[in-house]
Amino acid sequence: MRTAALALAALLPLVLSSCAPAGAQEERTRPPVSVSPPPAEIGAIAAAPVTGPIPVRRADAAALTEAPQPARLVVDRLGVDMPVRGVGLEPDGSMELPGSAGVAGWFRAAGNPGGGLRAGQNAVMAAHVDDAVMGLGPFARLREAREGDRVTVTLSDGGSAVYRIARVEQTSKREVDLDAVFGSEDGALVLVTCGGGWDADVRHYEDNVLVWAYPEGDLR
Amino acid sequence: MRTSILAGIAAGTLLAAGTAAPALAVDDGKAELSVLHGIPDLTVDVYVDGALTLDDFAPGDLAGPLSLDPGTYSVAITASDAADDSDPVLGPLDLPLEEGMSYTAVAHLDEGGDATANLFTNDISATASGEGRLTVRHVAAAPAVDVWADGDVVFENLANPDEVMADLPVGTYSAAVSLTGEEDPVLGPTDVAVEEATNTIVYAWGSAEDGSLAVAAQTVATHSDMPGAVSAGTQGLAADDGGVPAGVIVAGALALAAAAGLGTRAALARR
Repeated sequence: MRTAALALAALLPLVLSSCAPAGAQEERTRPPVSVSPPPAEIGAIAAAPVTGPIPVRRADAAALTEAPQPARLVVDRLGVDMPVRGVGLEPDGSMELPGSAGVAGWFRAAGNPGGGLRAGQNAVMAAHVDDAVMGLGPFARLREAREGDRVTVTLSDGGSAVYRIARVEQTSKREVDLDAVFGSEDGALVLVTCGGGWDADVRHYEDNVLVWAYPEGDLR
Repeated sequence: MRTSILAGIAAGTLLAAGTAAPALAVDDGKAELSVLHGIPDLTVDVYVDGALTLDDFAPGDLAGPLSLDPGTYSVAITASDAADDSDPVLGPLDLPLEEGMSYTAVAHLDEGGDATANLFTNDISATASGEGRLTVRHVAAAPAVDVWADGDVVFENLANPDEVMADLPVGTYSAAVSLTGEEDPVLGPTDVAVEEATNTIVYAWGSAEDGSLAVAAQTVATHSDMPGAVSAGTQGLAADDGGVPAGVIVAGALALAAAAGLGTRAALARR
């Protein structure tokens, strides 16, 4: 018993330091804005039933070239600099995650900061907040994110997409609106991890921590 | 629109991810239409319900996708200098578009080299995680063909105006087309990227006789299943409540055991 008590005492500061309340939860109304550049257009000539400019492009093999994908995620002020790899779904319908908390998973079937078909859809990256090997991972620092922090996504072709953090949110997993996180056409980059209480029985955190960032220059 | 996943989560336990509503590839209540011009050497105008909609539409051009109200549209294709659609080179054709569906209308040559048109339905059903869809359409004035991927025949004897499709693991494939039963490619090899939740549609168009065979391609988003949960922690190290993470106790006890003897005794004494 004394051993356990000591262990607790020794680790209390660690637990406390990673338990700072989530950053300011700013709620603002953000109009949906597509950030993808439109394809080359010809003038629409319009009349009903088709109105507005109609995108026309050469249907050549360029369409067969994959859009560049996220390769690295950097949040300078938080000291986050980690590799990113594409992920899908686990058999139970949850988001697949790299085993290491040091690697972020980018959900391939939602938005891609590198462009492509879903360029306007939110891009989502998630990482374990901790793992058995490295302890707390880089995403444990997300709760210290502040409005205006710069986020850089390096792409597989060497390019990059730059975002600015708008807000941090900590929400119960029972209430978090993942539909809005993954499905909205806001062009946001949403970084997701876990936090809140730890349910040792099921070995899960009770909350999701979400950081919402928008393309630099796209002030909202 | 999409329904909330909340019901699914609330009905399950914290561990059960539930099933999220898929992200739909076509706007709610709409039909999606793209138009591909696959007739060589003929720049055209496209009229929809009598209105000039695409001006100077060139061979190899792809227009759209357009998000349209469901219904039947009348499409006429004229020479590019026509004043109206009274003397079409093709059509008028009726295009019945159903809600929630994705289509590509293709003006092309039939096997014998005459101009024709087809309305293809693009399969936008969700692909399995880690897979994308590849569709190949034969719209060329050419005999039936075999389609090759990475050195093997994957689709045999595809004839104008048919299509074949398969869901494949995400990746880049080296694709080629040969006349049926032959090995020398008449098209390709060319790299084809198969992407998650995407239908990559490849067309063989033009004319074999005129030496104008070519590849056209479009990509169409399929519906995609969204995660029902993000379970992003394994140890409890970041917990912010009074509960003591199991991993912390174990790690702490291990550290203590490692230091047993000296520092530990002193620490205990101070307590």
